[in-house]
Amino acid sequence: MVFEVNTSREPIPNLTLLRVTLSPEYTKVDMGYSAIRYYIKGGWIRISPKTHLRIKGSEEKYVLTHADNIPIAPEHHHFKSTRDWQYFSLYFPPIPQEDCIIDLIEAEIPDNNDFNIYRIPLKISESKEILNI
Amino acid sequence: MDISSEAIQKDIRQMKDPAPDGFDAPIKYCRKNKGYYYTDMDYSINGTSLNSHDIDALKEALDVLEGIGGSRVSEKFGYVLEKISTTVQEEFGRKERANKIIQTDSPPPSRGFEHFDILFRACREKVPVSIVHYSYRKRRFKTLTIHPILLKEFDNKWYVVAHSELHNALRTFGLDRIYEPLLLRENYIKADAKEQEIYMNDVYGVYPLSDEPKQVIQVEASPLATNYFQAYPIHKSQKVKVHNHGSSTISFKLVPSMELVRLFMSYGKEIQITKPTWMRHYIENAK
Repeated sequence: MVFEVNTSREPIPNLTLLRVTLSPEYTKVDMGYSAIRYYIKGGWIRISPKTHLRIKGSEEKYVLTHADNIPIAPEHHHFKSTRDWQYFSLYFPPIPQEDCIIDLIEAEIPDNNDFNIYRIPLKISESKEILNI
Repeated sequence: MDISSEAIQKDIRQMKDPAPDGFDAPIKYCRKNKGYYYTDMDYSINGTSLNSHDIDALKEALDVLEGIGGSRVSEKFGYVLEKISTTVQEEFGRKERANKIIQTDSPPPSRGFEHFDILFRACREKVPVSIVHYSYRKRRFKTLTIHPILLKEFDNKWYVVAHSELHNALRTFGLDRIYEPLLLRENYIKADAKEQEIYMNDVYGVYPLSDEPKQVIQVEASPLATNYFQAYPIHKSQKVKVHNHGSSTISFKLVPSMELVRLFMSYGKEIQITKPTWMRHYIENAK
């Protein structure tokens, strides 16, 4: 099942958590990033291998297993300009398929650059079923 | 192999019998050569027979299809075309030409074209799709569910026209801005038939200007612009009234679109928009 989330990071909303897919094998989080003018040529992105999902009310960490279209640190993806963008996906172990609120945490004590997005509600009744090809 | 003359006689009789029992084959016996022959040399017992004119026409059609190329439609089409081309070459001895004699626009593959097959299936089987869309203008990503009705090519770019749940209306999405479409097992929302009709028939290009209905659009065209509009009409509603010195008044019944505005602007001073007034001001301000 897939949840169309569309939640942006605060205070710099250039990172958006777009979709969450729950399957018995994995949890997939689709994200989009638009480069900003602050950095020369848009700067770079990467994802920490410690990035994890946490379900509200639980201490369990679901740690990143792999990523598509974004390098895992210490590798970097360098943008070509301040107008560049990147769509990428992060994979985690499967979380229970039930109503929950999750946090995406790249750093426990984050700064504005970390890919932390909090309080993402996943309501089963609002999910959509993917048609297997 | 041991075949009796009776068996051969029986087979020939069946070949000569009219369809559906036989093959209606034009067979005669030649006393001189003491054998059977087809009186129509183009006759073939294998399915539909092709005469030499049909084969020439098929080869020419293949030239046109190869000119269009698989990359313009889909990878699947490219494979099928290659198979047909090889078969025709083997069956009828078609020679590869050193130089193409038909050339169409064939730009290199574009970003997002890999979604063609999945979106084609969604249109054909009426399946909703979850897409991630990146807006070049707003520089923002968004995920949304669309109910595709049509794949449209305009100006060498591919678009999907679909009912958007987010907008609760028909919208056009460039394939180049779509990421990872997912087919959904959800109810398909049929677009409003009237709205769909307008999108298919009354829009020049792909992005209608919001909230503008189908309307009369009129321009005064110089003799030069008149020649182009007469040679390449842009819509079936186009009417050209040529004046004494070659200039003209050209009218269309269309939903105003971004592409129409761009087309008019590309003519510079060669055309003046007279109707509607808002469009004249819109273009004047955009210059």
